[in-house]
Amino acid sequence: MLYLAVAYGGIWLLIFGYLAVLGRKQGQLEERLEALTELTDPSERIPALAARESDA
Amino acid sequence: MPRTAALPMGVAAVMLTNIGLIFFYAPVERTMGLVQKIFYHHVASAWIGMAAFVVVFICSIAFLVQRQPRWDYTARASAELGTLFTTIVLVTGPLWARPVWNTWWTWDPRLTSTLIMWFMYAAYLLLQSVVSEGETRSRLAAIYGIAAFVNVPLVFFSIRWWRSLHPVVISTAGTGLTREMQLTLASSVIAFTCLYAYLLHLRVRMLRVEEQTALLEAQIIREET
Repeated sequence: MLYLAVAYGGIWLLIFGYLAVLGRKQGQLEERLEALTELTDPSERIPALAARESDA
Repeated sequence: MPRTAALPMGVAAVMLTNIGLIFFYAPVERTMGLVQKIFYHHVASAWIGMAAFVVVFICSIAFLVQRQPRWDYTARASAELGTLFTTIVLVTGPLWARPVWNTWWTWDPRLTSTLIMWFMYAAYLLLQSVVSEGETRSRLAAIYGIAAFVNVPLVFFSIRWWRSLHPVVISTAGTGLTREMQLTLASSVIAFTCLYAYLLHLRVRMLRVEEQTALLEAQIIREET
């Protein structure tokens, strides 16, 4: 019984562990995409560029 | 229910049904007792793991012929999943062997070739992470994906070609399983196939977005400098 419980526990731990890794990767990807949107969105980008130009 | 939620819910339902069949429908084996129930997920993971490596092999060839990124993404995602399912095999195998064979591990042809296969695909994943982004990495991975496949038929036929402690599940002499056990095994294979297909779909989509994001980031950096 113990071996069976450990085996099935291990299987589901591995599957959910993989899903958790995928979830973390997706979170990081969403952050990168958000940063990209800010950079490429004209309403965000132009003030940022204007600020940089005025600094220069 | 949105379509995005229907897919994982469907896979979860299939997996739960399969677990129900394993514990409440399949009979307890007379000699080995309850521990024999490891068999259903052990065998299903082994078959799906090998099927995943066949997908890596086919997609690697397709990538080298057509140079389309989708083949590279599918091969990479399938290698990850094949390694995951083979890890399940390597974890559940010793847990079943200990009470039945009285040993955790033995250097039997099937066990040894499976361990070598796991190391070969772990190296494939490592190669993916050390070589920088781009065409070179995809080409190298495709060549390695084809070369690593050599071991997969060896794993499959090892119990037929050499003397092995490991039982042959399906042979010309039949399966040696009762009808209920056969049905439960079939449901495990279906459940693991659904899980594999769902995870593959998820991972391929993520790899495509990752690659496109990296390209966009590189383009923006180039424009800004």
